[in-house]
Amino acid sequence: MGYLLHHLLRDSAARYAAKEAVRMGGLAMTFAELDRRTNQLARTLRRLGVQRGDRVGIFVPKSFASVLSVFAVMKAGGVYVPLDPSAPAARLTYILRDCGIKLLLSSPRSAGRLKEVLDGDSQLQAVVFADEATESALESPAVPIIPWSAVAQESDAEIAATGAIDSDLAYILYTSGSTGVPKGVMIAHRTIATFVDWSCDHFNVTSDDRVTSYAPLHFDLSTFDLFVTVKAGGTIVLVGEHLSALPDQLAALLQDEKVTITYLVPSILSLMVRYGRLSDRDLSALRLILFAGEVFPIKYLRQLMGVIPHPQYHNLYGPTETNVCTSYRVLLEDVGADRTQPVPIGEACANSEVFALDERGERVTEPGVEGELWARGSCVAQGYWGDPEKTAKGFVQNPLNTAFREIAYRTGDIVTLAPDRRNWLFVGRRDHMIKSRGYRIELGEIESALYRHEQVKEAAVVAIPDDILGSRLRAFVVLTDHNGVTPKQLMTFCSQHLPKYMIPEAVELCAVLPKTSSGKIDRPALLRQTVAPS
Amino acid sequence: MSGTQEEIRRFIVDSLLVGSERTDVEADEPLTSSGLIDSLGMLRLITYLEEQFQLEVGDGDVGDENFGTLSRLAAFVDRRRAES
Repeated sequence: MGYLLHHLLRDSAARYAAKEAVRMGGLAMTFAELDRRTNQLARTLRRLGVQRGDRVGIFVPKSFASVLSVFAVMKAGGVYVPLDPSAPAARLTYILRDCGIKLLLSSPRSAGRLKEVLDGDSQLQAVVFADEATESALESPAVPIIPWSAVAQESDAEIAATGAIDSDLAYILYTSGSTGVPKGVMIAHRTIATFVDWSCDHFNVTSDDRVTSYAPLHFDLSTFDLFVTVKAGGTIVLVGEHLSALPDQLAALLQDEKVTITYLVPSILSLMVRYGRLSDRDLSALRLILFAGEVFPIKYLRQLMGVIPHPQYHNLYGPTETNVCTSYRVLLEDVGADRTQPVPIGEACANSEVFALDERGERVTEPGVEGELWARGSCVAQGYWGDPEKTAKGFVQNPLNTAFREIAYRTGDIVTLAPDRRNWLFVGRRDHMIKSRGYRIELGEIESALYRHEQVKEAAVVAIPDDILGSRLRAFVVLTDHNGVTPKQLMTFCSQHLPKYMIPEAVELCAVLPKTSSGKIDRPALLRQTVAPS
Repeated sequence: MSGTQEEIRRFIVDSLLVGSERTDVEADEPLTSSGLIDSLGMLRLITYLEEQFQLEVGDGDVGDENFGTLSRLAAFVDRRRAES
């Protein structure tokens, strides 16, 4: 029986042993090798004391080690917690301590950043290198580092079952939190198993498919790249992080690796459409382009579909708390010259249900009526790690179910029903959460970081809409002492607490911030200031 | 270091490296493979080059040959300006 995510690897390794499971930079690893190495790594984790339900951090650049780490942690019965390699040490330490991570999987390639983390107060007990990359050796006697050579000594036979069931957690993904600290979304095996089943079926994924792994592990788009591909016996084509900045190289990779399915964020697709020389490429193998994470400006989607007309295009939607819960197949008429509205987020995936409740708490059944989107079913996460208060706000009893206890998730996204009465359209949000390049950003988290500076008296961050990026961040700050601190110093200060993508592009020092009649900071007024001609 | 290169270096240091521990960037240091500049930084860099040097960054320009290092960037800008 297969009901845990690593069973997908076990089953595909039996069926497709000699097939390439993962490729990067011209090198490949077969399913059999992947299976054997993850067994060795899982045994190492168990030997080091990892028990069922223990959280294990993953801190590697996108590489074979990424795939090895994910499956090894699950085989050992653990819960994988991917860490953003570009996040500041303070944030990483917070996450490590928040969910009690004692063991970290890493790589010699991350030595520099790893040292910063180990020098902090992480409470880590051991680090295991999940690959044998030869980079500068790390000297950190405080925490034992187990090299790959030790892992390779372990038996590579299938490891004994740990007793985990599909209600147990597979991973925890940390996302931006409005009150200043990130929150850990807990996802059970069952949630991703449901998503994987729908994906394989809906997109007819087979062992002939070659699927990019672009999204970092700490982005839930990665669950498609890894688990759907492994289930189907296809080949994962790893995309190094630096390629997101080089659209020309990324487009070349899609061509040269004969990628058949690619799942990207709209901003990267827009970059490729503008600078990827797409019309010069042979992308005949590409049959499916999936996108999620943010609204795709129609003009760039239209250009993309014009330059690569033959694949199917699908818009996938869902917060981290539900993985993907709806999807929409984009047709040419959806991006016609007369269209200005973004494409719909679509209908619920098989075995998931979504509904919208208007302001009176009643179900939206008529086109044009707005409501908050809710999701129910196996797609719903188990809550936020260690935060019952925040969990209780978002994960609540389904108001439409009076028969039995059932938790549904309120997404906070405002939607409306399309005229066809089947597809949902995204309208916006009522709070201060925005998307930038697919990243979820709570403006409040950035403001909290600024408030930590003793010279900051008041702070507000606004998101300026941008065609390609989604949003650009600008901060407005009132200092306690007029000449105490420069904008640049404040941005540097932010970088000590926030990941790069959350650091405002500019900080404006103001004497005073505009207020509403109730005394709150008037953000719309600030936003108007940024777009008004000076 | 040429004038163009110095101007671009200033922009990268002042605007794109804010927050990293880096206070400088070498002429031949890899910009993207090192993670120094990501897709956000790239978009801001392109906008800066177009505005500052009055040139157009076109389809096919944004690859390693032109954007891989600071010196390649400066050479690209000088070439593009000479063409117009």
